[in-house]
Amino acid sequence: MTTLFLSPMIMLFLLGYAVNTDVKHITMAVLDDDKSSESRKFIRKFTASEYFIYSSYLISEKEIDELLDKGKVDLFLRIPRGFSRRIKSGKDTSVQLILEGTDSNRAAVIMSYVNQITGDFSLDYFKDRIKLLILSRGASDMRMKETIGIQERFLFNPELASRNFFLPGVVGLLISLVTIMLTSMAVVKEKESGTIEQIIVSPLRPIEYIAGKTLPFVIIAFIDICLVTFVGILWFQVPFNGSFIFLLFSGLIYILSTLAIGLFLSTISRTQQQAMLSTFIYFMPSMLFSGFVFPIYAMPEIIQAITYLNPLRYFIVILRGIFLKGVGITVLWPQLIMLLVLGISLFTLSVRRFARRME
Amino acid sequence: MEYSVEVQNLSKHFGDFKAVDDISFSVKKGEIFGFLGPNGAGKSTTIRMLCGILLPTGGNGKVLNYDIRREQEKIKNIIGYMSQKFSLYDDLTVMENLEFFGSIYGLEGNKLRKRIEYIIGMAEIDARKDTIVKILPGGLKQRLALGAAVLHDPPILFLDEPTSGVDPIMRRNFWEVIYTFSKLGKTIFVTTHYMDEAEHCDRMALIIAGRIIAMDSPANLKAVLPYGVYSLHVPDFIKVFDYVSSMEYVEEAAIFGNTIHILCEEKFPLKKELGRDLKAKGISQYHINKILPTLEDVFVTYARKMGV
Repeated sequence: MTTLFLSPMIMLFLLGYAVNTDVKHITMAVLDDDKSSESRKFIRKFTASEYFIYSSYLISEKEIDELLDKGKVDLFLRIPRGFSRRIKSGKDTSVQLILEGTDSNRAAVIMSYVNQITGDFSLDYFKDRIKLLILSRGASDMRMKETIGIQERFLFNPELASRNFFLPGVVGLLISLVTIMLTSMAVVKEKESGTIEQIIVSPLRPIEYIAGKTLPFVIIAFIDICLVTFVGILWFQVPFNGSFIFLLFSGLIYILSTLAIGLFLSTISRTQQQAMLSTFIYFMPSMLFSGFVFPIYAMPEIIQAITYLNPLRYFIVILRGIFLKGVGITVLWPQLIMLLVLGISLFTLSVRRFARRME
Repeated sequence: MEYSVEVQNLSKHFGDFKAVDDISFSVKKGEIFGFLGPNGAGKSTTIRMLCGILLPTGGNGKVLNYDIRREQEKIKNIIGYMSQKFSLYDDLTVMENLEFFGSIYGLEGNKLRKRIEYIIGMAEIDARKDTIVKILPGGLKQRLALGAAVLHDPPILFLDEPTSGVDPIMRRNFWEVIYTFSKLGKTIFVTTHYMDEAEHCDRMALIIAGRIIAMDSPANLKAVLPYGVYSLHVPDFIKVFDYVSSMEYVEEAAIFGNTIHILCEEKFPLKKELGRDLKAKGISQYHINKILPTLEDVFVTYARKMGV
């Protein structure tokens, strides 16, 4: 019972909380050599947003190395002397920015925030300047030209919460792990205990035996899908826009592949430890090459080609489609067909191999 | 004569290794037929081929007139099989196991219930019906496994080292059950590496390195041994053993418990000759008796002849 239902729940909670690539709580250190009202206004632009946390105000440049080395700050901002004088006189000016670049994605996101804030700041400043200019010429009724603004709206995941992106995929991961591991271990356990020998000499046909060894796990996988989905929706507030029936249906087709892989692994493993290890040897790359974490388009072409053989790749697309976009078979049929083709071929191969071993 | 098993020139090779090397034999209906040989002699491989689990590399075989190469499915329905490794489900109860195996063989309803009742009576396991198999003592497990193997009332029973790891009393018990089946007209094919167990068989084959080196009833095997067999009692038998072995007229010497078994030419006057040699060595306390050979003597003799 524990393995069947509790461990998927534990994994869901771990992943639900841990898999979060949202860039928030950026700690910044500032060295303000200018100490003017403009420089303070500029700094406030950062701290006013919910993303930046003002952590330390430095006196000298020497302190920054230690802070960066210890990972205490993500970002170091240095405002040079003469900052306010230069912008007031309309000259180009620059500030120094040092980013903690270990996590390249995070650094890139922080950089884009900084660019946006700096852009806003200069724009506001120029608007004020122009307004003043216009007013000083006595043309108070003159309309000021606005710049082009962007009205953004992100569809399907409006808050761009990474959890919404990851959690549907967790359903796929858990189902794979549970079904592959349970199937392979259940068969190998019979090898270890010798009961399979008694089955082999009986008139029971291999296909009947396989059905007996896999059907229970289909049911367990269904229960796990329901559990994970409900907890995802109720606890983690992941949007669910699609059809639940379609989710179960595509899950069933996906399980065909994982059961086949589980059976295959059982034919190459002699002990339960081997079965468990080979499950992970399959599971890790299948997760990495599924687009669950790393986007497939960013992979080298050879790896991209391999991912077409990975059932999880298609199931992840289906899961995100159902959860976030609310689309169904009319959109996701290519993925379903691929899953079906892969599932049937893998299953046929595994059953054949298995039956040969049994006779 | 009606035969339950007929085998001609059967072989099984695993790569270069000849597990079973060109053996031929037949088992009469209702006979207890034993395969006696050390581990790795090819006993299990032969049984597995007869049960239709393993395809032979060469030769032919029939079990109750079904071809072991082509009619495995039919064979599986009419044989009972019990392996050296206990192979019932550990985490099910006695009843659950019997019900499960019964249903695999297509038994159901009244028929299944009656067979289970019979098996439980035979294995004397009534009191432990609802016990998880895991915690049963070894001997009971063995009887239960035998029960499961005969649940569908097969006319022929293959037992692959059924008593390995079972204590002597349990083994005796087990053989009583096997005799019961034999009396019911069932054919029993059993492998073992226990010499005393082989004595229970009607007929037996000695098998070494994949080949049958002798085949007959235990009594005949012993009778045709072309040697005189003597036992020698001496106090310091381990020291004396080397000395005795070095004698020219001693064909074979082996330690049995605290005595030395000696094989020599059938007509050789061993008592006199050995007595003289022992005295020459300063050994005066000894008893030499002519004895009937044991199966072990037979086995050792044939094995040495084979150069093993």
